[in-house]
Amino acid sequence: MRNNNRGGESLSRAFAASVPVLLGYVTIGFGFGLLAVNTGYPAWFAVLMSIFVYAGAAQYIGIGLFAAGATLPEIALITLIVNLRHAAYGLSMIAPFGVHPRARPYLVFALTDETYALLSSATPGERADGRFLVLVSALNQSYWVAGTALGALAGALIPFRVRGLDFALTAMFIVLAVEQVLRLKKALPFVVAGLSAVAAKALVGDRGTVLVGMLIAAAALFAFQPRGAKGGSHAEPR
Amino acid sequence: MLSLAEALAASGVMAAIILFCRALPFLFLAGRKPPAFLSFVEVYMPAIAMTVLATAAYTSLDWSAPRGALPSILAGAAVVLLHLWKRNALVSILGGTALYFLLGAIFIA
Repeated sequence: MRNNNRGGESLSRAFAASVPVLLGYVTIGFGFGLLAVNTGYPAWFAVLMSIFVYAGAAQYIGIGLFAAGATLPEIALITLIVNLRHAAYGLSMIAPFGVHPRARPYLVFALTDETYALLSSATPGERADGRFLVLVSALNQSYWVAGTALGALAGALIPFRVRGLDFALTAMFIVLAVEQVLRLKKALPFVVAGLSAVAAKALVGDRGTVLVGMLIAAAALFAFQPRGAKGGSHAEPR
Repeated sequence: MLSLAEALAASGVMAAIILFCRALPFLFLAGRKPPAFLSFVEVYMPAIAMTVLATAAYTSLDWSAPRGALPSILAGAAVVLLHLWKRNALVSILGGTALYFLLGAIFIA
């Protein structure tokens, strides 16, 4: 099992897959570290949050709520609403994670938007490789924690802004959406999902766009899917 | 502003809730034969999630100043074209991000 060659190959593949997340997480993590320190919390607190909370949007919103003196029930409810979408990610990861029971607790803990993006579009061979799954997840988290630490330390010294590198995450979502178009070979799910996101933004604003957009899209597509497609007759090779 | 001790306690609650969200399907559905909706979710969720996440990056832009949105639009289009052409994720992402930088310097002075 601990064959060095295979392990090395898993690592290089995992690293190559994770490079776009490296750019985005270091930048956005840096911003989070800055924000936490500028709000008045110590650098170690920012790093601790990135290790144990590990959810980008929720951490930014959390600092905002802490600064505003929000109550615990408010913080809990908003965190739940912002992160409920992660339950949908888990749904499509039950089978791939199920074959790696020892790694599963960490894989579930570390299932962010970006890690889900990489793991759900991994090849069947990569999904069967528990090392690859863990390495992608752990590399991504290490970028997030490193970015947070750098930002928190920099924030203690000088006020700072970095622009542009976070576009790497948008670009990654676009690339993975294109890959899904090529896999499903249908336009409808993408048109519906795009329109759902726009509708969700209009309905609930930026904080709820992703969750509400996914719910609207899933409900609409499930209601209107072709008759023959129900009951597991999908032909997708997965 | 919450004190450090209060913020630590609140962070603990946040961590527990987020872990709960991520673990939810594994707690209640692992080992069962998935109902029709779940096999639907498994096939379509990646497509829905990627499209919504990508679209949300655009709906969150400030559209009252469309000039500021131009770098994102053009770089996003470049990512799609690059990817259809070369089908290499790194080339598409790094190329698009480099273009975004360049356009940002031009359009957002």
